[in-house]
Amino acid sequence: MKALKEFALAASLLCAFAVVGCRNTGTHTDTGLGFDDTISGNGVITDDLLGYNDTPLPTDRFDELPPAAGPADVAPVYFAFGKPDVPAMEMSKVDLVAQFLTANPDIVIVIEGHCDERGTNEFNLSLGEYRAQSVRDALMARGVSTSRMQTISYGEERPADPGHNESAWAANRRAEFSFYQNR
Amino acid sequence: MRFSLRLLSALLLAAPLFAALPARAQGPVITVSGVAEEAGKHSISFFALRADPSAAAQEFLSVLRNDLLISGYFQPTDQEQAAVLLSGSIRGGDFGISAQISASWLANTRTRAWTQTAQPTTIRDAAHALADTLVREITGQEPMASSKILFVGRRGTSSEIYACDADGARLRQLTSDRKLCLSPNWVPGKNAFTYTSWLSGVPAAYMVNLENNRRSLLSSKPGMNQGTVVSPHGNRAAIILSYAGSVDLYLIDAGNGRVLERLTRTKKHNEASPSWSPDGRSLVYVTDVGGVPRCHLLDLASGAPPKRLVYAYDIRENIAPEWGKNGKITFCGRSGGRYRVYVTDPASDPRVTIPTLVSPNDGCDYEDPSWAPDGRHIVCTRTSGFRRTLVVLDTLGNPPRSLFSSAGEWYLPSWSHNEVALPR
Repeated sequence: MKALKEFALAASLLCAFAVVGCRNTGTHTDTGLGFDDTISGNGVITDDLLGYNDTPLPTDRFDELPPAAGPADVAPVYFAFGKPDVPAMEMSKVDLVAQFLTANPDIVIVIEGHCDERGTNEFNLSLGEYRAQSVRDALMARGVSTSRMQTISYGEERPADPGHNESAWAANRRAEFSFYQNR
Repeated sequence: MRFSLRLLSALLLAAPLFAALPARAQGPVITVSGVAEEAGKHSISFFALRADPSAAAQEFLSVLRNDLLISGYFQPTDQEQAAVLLSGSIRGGDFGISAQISASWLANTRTRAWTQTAQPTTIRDAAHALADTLVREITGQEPMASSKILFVGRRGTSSEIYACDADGARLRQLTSDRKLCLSPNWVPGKNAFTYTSWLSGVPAAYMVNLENNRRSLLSSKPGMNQGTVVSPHGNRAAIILSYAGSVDLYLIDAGNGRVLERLTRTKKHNEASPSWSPDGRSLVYVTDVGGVPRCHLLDLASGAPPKRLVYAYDIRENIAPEWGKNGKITFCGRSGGRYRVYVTDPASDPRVTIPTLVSPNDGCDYEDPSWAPDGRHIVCTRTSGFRRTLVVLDTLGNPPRSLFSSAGEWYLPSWSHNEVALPR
């Protein structure tokens, strides 16, 4: 069973590489860089106890598609300080988006993750991405296909409220939805 | 000259940072009567060094004097007597400068002389070069005057990458992406840096080669492409990616961005801020496995699990590490409700080691430290009243120095090695 999962993982990663490889050609112009000796094959550090499959993000740029309207009362999902998980009280907003996407199969979304200003910019970038992926995972659990969702993190870089107090911070710890028309 | 300096640097970097303080414990700093010297500093006399009244000559002189002051090793004076005596002349004009300068120390048992000329656009560089030479020759320490500092500057809603000299002068904007930029990081030993930009609409990792001012796309996978740091050997880079569905630490090819190795698969946790050891065999990075963001050491060759860097009871959260060429790691720790800058030795036992606090206890937050090439100073972001500026801290006790004062927010600094040059 584990071997099957690892094979599935390897296959999905290979597919991801095959697609992304076309986009990812950085031509480095400095020829002075040398090449090192062997890369070691370490055990991957994991926090996963039961084994799970990666759920790769789709590779096409959704934000290059035509914008589309979302549900009328769509609202950002708000998070607790330092936490990436969607709070139970916010889940109804995820339900709303899930129902909309189920009813409109040609719409795709980008989920933006944000943090408040406390802590370093770099860790907040990771936390913002984690928040966006938490929302994505919650939508997945409600039947939305992963191929219709992308994530982007702005960390603390794009606050909704420029203030420096608890209410501003609470307003900035959010995930926002943008909707696009898939061709 | 260059070879022997490298050898000297290598020998000096091998010496523990805190064990022997060469400027203090090791002599000989000869105290001359009538000259009061701060501990650890060589008084250096400018009495016999004449600069003509031209703006060029005066600029050379003032840059040199300031470099020696902020190096931390010298105490410039106009008194006739000092531990180090400078003499000579500096002529200046539209042609630039021409200088003949001598230094004598150890009661005239050591003397050196230099001839320096510079065009008008390179007067400051010439002064920095001479200051570095004086630091090396007289103190035996690594200098920093010729190095540059990269950082993010924000004026309004967009941010760009900026740079300045080690003395805070010549602030200049390097990018005009007009969106968001983050995390500039010098490539070790190269005149190049990596950074993250949203210029294409999504965050991607770029490499900028300052030799020819060309920017190339290094990594643009779906999700994050963040915190790119090229290894000291130059062939691979550590980076935070999330395209596989969780935020994780990866190794990529530093030339074409191809994924080489996935180092973490932590679906329920975040990674951030990798930094290479000087020998390129280990990384320090941040992960919140364990519930709180903490720095961890990862030996890439051994395959051993990552080890915590800090166990000190009062530093609960520790982030933004940078591993210096001196072997020490500086990081930002949260303690007593504030973010502070610390230094610790990763070779010591973290369960008994108390990291050294370097930032002042003044009610401000100090974050994102980066080592100067002298292995002694650290630049960091200081947040006071929610405004961010750049400050240079001294691990040997001198008070902090504000890097420059200019409208805007300035943060996420990265301090270069000594042999970089910025485009004019």
